[in-house]
Amino acid sequence: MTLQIEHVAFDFIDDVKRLRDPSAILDRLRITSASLGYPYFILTGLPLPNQRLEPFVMLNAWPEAWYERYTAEEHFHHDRVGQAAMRTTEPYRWSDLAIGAEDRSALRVMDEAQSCGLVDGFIVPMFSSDSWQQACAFATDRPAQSSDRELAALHVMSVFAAGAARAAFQPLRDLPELTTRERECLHWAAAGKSAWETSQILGIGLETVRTYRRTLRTKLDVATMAQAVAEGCRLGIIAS
Amino acid sequence: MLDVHVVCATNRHLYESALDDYFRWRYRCYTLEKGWFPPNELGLETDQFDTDDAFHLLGYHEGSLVAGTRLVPCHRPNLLSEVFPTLASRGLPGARHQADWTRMFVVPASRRRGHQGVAGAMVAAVMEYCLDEGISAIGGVQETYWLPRWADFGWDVEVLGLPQTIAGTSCVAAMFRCAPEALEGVRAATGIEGTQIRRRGPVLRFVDTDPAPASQPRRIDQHPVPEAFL
Repeated sequence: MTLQIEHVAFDFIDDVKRLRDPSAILDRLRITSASLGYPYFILTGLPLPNQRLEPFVMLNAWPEAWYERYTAEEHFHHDRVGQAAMRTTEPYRWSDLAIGAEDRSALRVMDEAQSCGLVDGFIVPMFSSDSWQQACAFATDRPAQSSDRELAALHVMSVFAAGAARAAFQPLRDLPELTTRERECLHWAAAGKSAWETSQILGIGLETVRTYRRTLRTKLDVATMAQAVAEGCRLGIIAS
Repeated sequence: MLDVHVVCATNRHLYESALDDYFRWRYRCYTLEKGWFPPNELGLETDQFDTDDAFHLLGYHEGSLVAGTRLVPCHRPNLLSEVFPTLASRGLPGARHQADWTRMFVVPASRRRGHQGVAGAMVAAVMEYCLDEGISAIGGVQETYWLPRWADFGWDVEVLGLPQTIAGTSCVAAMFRCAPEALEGVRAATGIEGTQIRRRGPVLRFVDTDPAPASQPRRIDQHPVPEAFL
């Protein structure tokens, strides 16, 4: 049995590495996760407190009714299970978290999950060291009886599925190539410096900085420096 | 951009105080911070793999040691083969042109989020070194949460077994294929544009038998000695 779960995982990884179509990646993961007792999952970036979840969702295999409810109510911000993904590197199950009776909004999220048929889940946090963190949240409508090995297999498979999904949505070769100076100007813009302040810091002319900033905006396909900073963060060019 | 010095058995006499610094930082990061090893009186962290077979890469920024890491050829005893072989159910890498990569650290003052800092530069230096030396694959035991990072660089990752929890953290054995695209990918993600590897004094080649002659004769590079050595 041990040997079999390893074969399942390694075959999955070999297959998913070759996939570039998000729905193919989703289908391939769903077949395997279902066989391990988790037929539902969502692979998503994690929104900041003032953001909605939907723009960050990469692969959605949650029950439709649950996804509609979860996003309409913006549950992520009260969901103890989801929030925990931002505070740990290690995968965890719903049952690993204790939700106190006083945490009414977190309890409501769990109740609503159950009313949509979901009884347990397994969450894999993923930090890719740029400003965008992701998680793959598996869920099930039957009591989960997965062994540690099966969860380890789900863990590693979800990481490779996420890698394939990220490549599918944002191929590396489409990352804009910035020169060192352009990157420096972007860094100082992110620190709130004006073009003049940047020219002083870097010891170059003001018009030169303005030219770099213009080229930056063109390469990042944005209209303002504020948008350039946001795009730079999103692409992992600068730290947030 | 860092100056990453290669330190091995044959040039280590030129780096005595640098190595002391390096093993002290390993102590601070691995014994004190991570709590992987029991404290000792010397304040140095060394293990049974810090032998003549090991290659240490010491990363300097403006004269200060800011990062370090260790490579051991896979046909020699290494952390994965001797301590965690059960992580490699698919088989241990055992070739002289593969490297077991361990003990990477960045000094706390130089740590930052994102790929643009010292950690990213150090990883770029490691891949540069691997391509220089004809290393075909590099890797070993690591925390599973590192895996997405390699995908960001466009690296080709092969896991050698399922993750296992070791001292409370999920760990996995994985190897990364060394190829020009891997160096381009990490350089693009980290903003490193030039060579960072420095070789001072008589430096061993990582792959100790090489039937094909080197494409260029080895030079002994003259690089300014970082202040930390003086």
